[in-house]
Amino acid sequence: MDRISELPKEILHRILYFLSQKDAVRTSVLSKSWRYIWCTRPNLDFSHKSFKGDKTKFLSVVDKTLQHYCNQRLCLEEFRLCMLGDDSADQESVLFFDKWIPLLTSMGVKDFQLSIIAEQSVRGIIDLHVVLKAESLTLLWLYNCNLGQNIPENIPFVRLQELQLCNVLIKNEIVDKIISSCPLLTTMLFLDCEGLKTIKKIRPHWFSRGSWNKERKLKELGEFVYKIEKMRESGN
Amino acid sequence: MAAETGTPTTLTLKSNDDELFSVAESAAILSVTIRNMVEDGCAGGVIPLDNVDGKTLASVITYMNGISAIPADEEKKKSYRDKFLSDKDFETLADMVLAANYLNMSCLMDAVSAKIAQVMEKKSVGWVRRKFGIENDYTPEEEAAVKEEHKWTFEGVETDDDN
Repeated sequence: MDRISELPKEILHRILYFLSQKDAVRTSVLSKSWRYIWCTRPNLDFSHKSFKGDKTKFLSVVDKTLQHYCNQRLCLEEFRLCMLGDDSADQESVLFFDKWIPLLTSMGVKDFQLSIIAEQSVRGIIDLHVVLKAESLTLLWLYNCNLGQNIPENIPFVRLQELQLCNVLIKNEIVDKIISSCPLLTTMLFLDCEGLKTIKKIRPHWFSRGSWNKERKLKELGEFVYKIEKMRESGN
Repeated sequence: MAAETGTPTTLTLKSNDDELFSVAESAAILSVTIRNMVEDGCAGGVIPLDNVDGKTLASVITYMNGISAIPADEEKKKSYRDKFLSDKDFETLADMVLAANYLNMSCLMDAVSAKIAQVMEKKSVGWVRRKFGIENDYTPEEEAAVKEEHKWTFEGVETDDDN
């Protein structure tokens, strides 16, 4: 047998770890010994952009794969999902999120990265508050989405490191809650978030953890608050 | 251990083809396998590494010395790793990934795995087969069936023609 196919499965998994879902799945065609290597690797990385098919098909591939991992009790450590396009935040995908988010929690996923980049036209129509229940999130990027009006009792993002919200409808109280319950946050970006007036709960202990540069970050937050205030003054 | 005596300790590693190598303990303990031996006090004499040949072990030790000389600076470590692996052919990379796995060196394991993955990235099945000498043992019907099952993965892949 050739050298690469002879490598132990755990090494092949590590190699496939660095490939997109598409490249990893395609290795199943290489030869019989490669047939099922991809579908036991400990990470999944789905991007609607590289999928190129229609969204219903994309959602069904993600769902089928996730279900396979769950049914076979396979170890899944990382799950990355990137949805984008005019219909990425429609009712159909929200139904899948409703199913996947508890599933990922029950499967013990440690690193969940979610990007939902919707077209501006759909903003506000679909309530994505289910995202606020995703326990293992380490990265959350939302563009043109609506996180709903209900303020959840707990935000379970104990692992969240990076948060980017652009043109997201979100209650100020939810942002305050996210900030006060995410000790590992190192990167935060808010752009054009209607409903977000100020960040109140800047906790000193929050800056001493992780890699925060206290002064710099405080300054950035200060500027952010300033921008928001400025916007309100000018009547926007 | 070195930290207790205050003098740098040197370990002797033996490859499976009986070559002996001296390496500073501080560099060698990048390998969790070796670190465990040191911590258990089993690293006094010669440490036999039955799964690594001399050529590969020499290379791994170069890496251990190089990376441990860089202070905690992830960017510099990354650029060292990139440079270290840049001239290695696939046979060498395969030896190194096996050694890294055996020695439990996650940083080297990841760097080599990523490097191998990079070769496969966005490439067609035919190209990857040729590159790695993988023999296609599917019948045409079987291959067509597997392709059909994962049709979505065949769009936007580089064609075979350029290689």
